[in-house]
Amino acid sequence: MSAGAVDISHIFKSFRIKERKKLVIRPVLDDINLSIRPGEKVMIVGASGCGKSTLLRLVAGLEQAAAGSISIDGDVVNGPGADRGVVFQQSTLFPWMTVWNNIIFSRRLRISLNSRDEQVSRAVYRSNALVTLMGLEQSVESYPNQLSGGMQQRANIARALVSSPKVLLMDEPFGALDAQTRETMHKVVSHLFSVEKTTVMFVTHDVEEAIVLGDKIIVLSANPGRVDSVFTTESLKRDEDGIVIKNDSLFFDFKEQILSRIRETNTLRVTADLLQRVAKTLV
Amino acid sequence: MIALTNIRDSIPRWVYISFSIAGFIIPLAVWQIICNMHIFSALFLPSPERVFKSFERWTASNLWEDTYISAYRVVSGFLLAAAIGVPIGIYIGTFKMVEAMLQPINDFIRYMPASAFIPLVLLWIGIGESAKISIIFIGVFFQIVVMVADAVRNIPQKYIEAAYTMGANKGEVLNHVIFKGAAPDIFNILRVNMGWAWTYLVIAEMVAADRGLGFAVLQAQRFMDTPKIFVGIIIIGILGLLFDLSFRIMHRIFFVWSYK
Ligand SMILES: Nc1ncnc2c1ncn2[C@@H]1O[C@H](COP(=O)(O)OP(=O)(O)O)[C@@H](O)[C@H]1O
Ligand SMILES: [Mg+2]
Repeated sequence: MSAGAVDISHIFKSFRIKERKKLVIRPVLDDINLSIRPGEKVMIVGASGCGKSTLLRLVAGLEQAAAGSISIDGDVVNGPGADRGVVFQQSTLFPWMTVWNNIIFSRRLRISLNSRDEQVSRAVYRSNALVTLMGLEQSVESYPNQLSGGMQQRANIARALVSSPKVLLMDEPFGALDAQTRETMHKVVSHLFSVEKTTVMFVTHDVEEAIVLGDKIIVLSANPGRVDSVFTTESLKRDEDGIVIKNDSLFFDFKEQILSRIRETNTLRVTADLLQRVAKTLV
Repeated sequence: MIALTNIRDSIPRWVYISFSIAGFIIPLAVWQIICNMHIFSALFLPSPERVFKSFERWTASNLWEDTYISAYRVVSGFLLAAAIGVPIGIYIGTFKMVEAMLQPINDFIRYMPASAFIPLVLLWIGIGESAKISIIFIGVFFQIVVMVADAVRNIPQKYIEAAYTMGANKGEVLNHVIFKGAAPDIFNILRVNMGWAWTYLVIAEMVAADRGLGFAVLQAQRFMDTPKIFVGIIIIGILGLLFDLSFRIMHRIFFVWSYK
């Protein structure tokens, strides 16, 4: 598949929720407009609950917007499909299939036994390439519950990419991993991003992760979610492998700018006034 | 010293097996002791020895024939209930429309005693083999439906969503996710219901039977042949246990992935 331009135009989304036994409508996303170029790696950050996951689920076709439209290369999204791969925070590998069968699942669905050998071998070739790229050679015959959290996420990424989606959607994929494993995953994924031309939308609450992996960083404001600001990482210093150098004053300043936007837009801000009031109730 | 009473802690295998055997031996010993004390007449509580003698007599006549025909009835009724109940349960657990239509009526019938259907079965189906099979069927079918529906509802939504994002259509989600994912639970449900099917045997063989373990128990009751009642009940118990055990072994073979 080619290209992978994502166009998000005037997206509104709300949820009906129960508040003090009454149904109320809570707006979550309010007029989101984004235009993502093919192959761009876009990171989405923002306070918890600001609607990052909801935005990603809308692009995946797992939720429907109240208004507005999302299109991929001009095709309007109305439901999930294999042109958009998804990786969630929690592994969604099917426990009843081996890692290999999980990875080749979407291809198996579309390639029947009587289709031409060439098609089958191409699917197997791509699956094998992704297994190698993700360092899963030793794990393909295992069942998911025999794998560590990090290896499970590697397999989830390989599975999401196997049908060469135009867009890869990742919702805090390393959020449940320990710091060391996460560090390793950053290396694996930045290499992956440099070889896979697919467009990426990546949600994270870890600003450093966003800077290291992204071309562009979008800060969503909370209640309701709006696009607050957009940053690009191109001016940052990189090493010869193209990896952002963290130990650099430019990096610190950049990170601080983003963090301050997230703080600024978080409606659940802990103010000095609030702390004082809480302190009083504790006496 | 081995700690035996820690919550959920595993214990050595030999200790486990010893306790399992003790669970059978102790009641047997108590039984024998009570008989030795001669408190009750043999009509109320025959001694293990008399029960064994009765077993030998029955073996010499037609125990195997009775066992065979009973197993045939139980297995047929159970298989029929499973073949129809599992798909219906899957559909109830998957589609709200089917749930709305079938779940309330299923629950309604589920609480009716199977024995109360005997007159209707006689009236509608007659007195042949299918009548006995029908009682077994009625005993387990409605339970299988409701339990399978619950098992299917327990498949996490995230797997269904993942399948859709990989381009699966509804039928493929049903096949590869809902059915495959619920299969170990469904198999366990069938195991439990196989056990219940045996418990309906005596009721089923109230329906104009002239052979079978349940029939023999009823007959023995009429002639106050208490030892034979004991034998019949024990054999039904053993058969149930053997079926249960083979289901457990098959579960371990078929669903390796569901064990850590
Ligand atoms: N299915 C849902 N039903 C009701 N409210 C929801 C649902 N999904 C998300 N929300 C609400 O929408 C808001 C945004 O959620 P989410 O997109 O998960 O935030 P984030 O991923 O940024 O933490 C939250 O307030 C959350 O409670
Ligand atoms: Mg989220």
